[in-house]
Amino acid sequence: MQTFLQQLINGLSLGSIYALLALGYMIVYGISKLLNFAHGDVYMLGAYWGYYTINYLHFGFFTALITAMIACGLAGVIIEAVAYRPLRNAPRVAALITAIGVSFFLENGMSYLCSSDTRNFPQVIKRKAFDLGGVTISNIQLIILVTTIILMFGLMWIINYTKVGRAMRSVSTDYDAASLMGININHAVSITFALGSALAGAAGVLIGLYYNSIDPLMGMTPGIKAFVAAVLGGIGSIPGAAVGGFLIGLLETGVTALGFSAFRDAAVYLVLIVILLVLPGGLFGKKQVEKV
Amino acid sequence: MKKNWKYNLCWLLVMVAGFYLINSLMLAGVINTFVENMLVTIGINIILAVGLNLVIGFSGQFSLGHAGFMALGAYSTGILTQTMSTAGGFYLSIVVGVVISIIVALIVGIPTLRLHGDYFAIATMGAAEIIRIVINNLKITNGAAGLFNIPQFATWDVVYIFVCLTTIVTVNFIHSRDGRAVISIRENEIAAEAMGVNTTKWKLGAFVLGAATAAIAGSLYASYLQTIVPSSFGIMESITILIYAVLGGLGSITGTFVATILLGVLDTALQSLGVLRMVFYAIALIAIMIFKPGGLFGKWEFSFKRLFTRKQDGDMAEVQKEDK
Amino acid sequence: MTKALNAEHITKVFGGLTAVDDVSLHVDAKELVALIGPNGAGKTTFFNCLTGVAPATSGTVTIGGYEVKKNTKAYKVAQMGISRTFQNIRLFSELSVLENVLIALTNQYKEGFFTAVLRLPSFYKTEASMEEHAKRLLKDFELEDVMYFPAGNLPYGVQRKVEIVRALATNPKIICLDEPAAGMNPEETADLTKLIKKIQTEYGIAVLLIEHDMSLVMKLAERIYVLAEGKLLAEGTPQEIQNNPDVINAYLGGGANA
Repeated sequence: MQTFLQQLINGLSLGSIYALLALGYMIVYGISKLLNFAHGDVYMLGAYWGYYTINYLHFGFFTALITAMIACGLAGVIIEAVAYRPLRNAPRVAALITAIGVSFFLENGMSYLCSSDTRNFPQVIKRKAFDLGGVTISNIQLIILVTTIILMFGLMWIINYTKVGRAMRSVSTDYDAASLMGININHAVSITFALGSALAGAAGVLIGLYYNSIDPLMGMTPGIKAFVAAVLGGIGSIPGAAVGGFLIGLLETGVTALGFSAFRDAAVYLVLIVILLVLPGGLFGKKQVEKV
Repeated sequence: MKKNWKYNLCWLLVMVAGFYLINSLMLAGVINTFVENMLVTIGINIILAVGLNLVIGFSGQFSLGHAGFMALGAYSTGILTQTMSTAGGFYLSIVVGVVISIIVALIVGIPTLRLHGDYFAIATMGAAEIIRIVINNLKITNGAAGLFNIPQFATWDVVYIFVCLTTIVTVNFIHSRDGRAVISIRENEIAAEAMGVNTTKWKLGAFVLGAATAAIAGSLYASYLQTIVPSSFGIMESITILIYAVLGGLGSITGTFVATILLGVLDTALQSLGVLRMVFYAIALIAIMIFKPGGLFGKWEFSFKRLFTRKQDGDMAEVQKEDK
Repeated sequence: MTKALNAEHITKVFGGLTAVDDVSLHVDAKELVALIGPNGAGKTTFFNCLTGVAPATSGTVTIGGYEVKKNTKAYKVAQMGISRTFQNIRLFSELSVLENVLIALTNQYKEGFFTAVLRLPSFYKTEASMEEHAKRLLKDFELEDVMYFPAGNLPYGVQRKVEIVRALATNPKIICLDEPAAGMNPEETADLTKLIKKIQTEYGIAVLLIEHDMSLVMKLAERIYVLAEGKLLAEGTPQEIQNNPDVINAYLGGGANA
């Protein structure tokens, strides 16, 4: 029971990182219908931003987190404007290839500028472990969980209760109709990319703190997992993406704890395929029916 | 009827001429090992990209798991030729790889082809990753260390012949009754069903044919490089193949050839730049897609038939029709 | 004579909504029947039930005397001899008109995988006869001038015509046309009237027609079914329907009397 609770806590902290990534991925996907392969690399940018600002500008953790979100949000807006906007009316697969191009660009550009070595993320917060009846939880895990939950509710509030959020929702439903209603589409898409990328940036700083090591290719696998989480939860559903992220985190720690760490990723994909076959729209998604 | 033979003869001549051109350049010493290596890599990538183009560009099913099937072929050859170190053993291993690949494609395809668009993409990607992870953890495949000292039977000429064969099979399939059924699914699945086209069957048919050719490419890859590791067959490999197919133009085999050759040469030429090579590659990718969103060739195909008809009479409509 | 189409007690429920409620309808061989009704009456849903696109919740359909078993896939239903067009045209738009028709001929010609891949002589023979068949049809409907154009680039009216000819090419016992005259000008509608009549008389194929253009329906239909709010309201000859008070009421709305 204790090990189970322990794994639950570990799984939830890892899962919250996936959840943050998945949320960002999902809102970007929702509005642009784009498999944004570069999303994981924006997360890598966030981790590097944290690394440099903490080491050289002596930022505190929260300053680093907030500035990383702003910087990554800006990066997301630039990426969208330069690489994705010109292809908005092109075949979707063309936009997918540019997304892959952007991903290559960020990964290799970073390798070129900062070398491809793995670096130690500065430990701005001293790790403290709390013992709760045999189950340990570290202050870093707590910070990750709380930050994720705050950001998640913040995103939900923006999307559901603000004017900007309404514009984003209407654009992701129908570009043409939204533009006829006087909504500036470019604006709404930019804001969505900014929000999604900011979440990825936050996840990057958090993972640096948690795993203590960063490298230019660190975003590849989590980026793909984030999409898996978003699909698992159901594209278009914010709670779905969060649940998908937590689920993958739990699954990974669970499989590892059972001694099958080599099959960790295989288990994630297997669960994904099974869920898609049973629920083609994901856990919380709506089934799309084509009207004849 | 006679006319058709004329066009087929033209293609045969092109293939034979290509073979002799490479052969004589090789004898003259113009093509060194370095260039030969590039040519073989391009050849293997052409087989992969043509197969993927059949699945994505013609049947319209967005598969992201091509490398998984390539791995099945590669490991069949890697394992079998170590005990049967003869040419016969090599060809048998190709057949075994193709058969395994077809079986796996059926197992993966039958349930997942019901999914649409990106959902199918992510499911196939997951399936390919599962294949890779299993290979990574088996004893017979020597785990993450991979297989080495695989005997080399796939020399450049064997690869050349297989490029021709797989392309002929794919192109002939596309330009047939069944190929039209496959394309109709891409164009409008509901209308295809209404015309009595068994869409599940033909989606699966294209997917399986693509998987079989990928297995052949994998066998050639293993036998030529003589070393294989599971990490070569990951998501990145599937994406690389996708890039060739999309850049040339989904729905254009001509485009696939040109794009694969172009990127293969570019890749080799930039080799000396190190990490910057991938930065340039990335910029080239983004630029091409922004200026040519449909790929370099769109859906255009080169055709001898059209070339001849154009010479005989200038009637454009006539030209278009003779293409098919 | 066997009926081309016989549908009995068709009901279709979406969630809690009954879109089609216990509708029975039949079309005799070579008969031209129209299905009319106000918007949202369930006409297209009924078509989808017949053609297997969205199978009925309950009820039976027989095509040419053969019963369509439950959960038969749409392509199998099509092979049984029912063909259709769509309200929002569904052509294979990047393919030529000729290829559109060739695809509809798929099931009438046999061509093995290996014959095709190895380009055996019989492949060329089959291809030639398929092409000849398709061209004969296109010529008969005066589409030979556009047969090498991509179907999606044609004017709207021509696209509708191509879709009908493509449906005809599957060699069905009955063709279901879903609002073929929608968006057409009077000239095109007149053309269409002739085309539908031709399918019935020269090709001997039964036609079931959904249409809002009443002049077209009254001119063509031998019998008319009226659907309102998912239920069958009336059935009869054009004269009977024109004078049926229920039908008039349904079209003008219940509020007209109040």
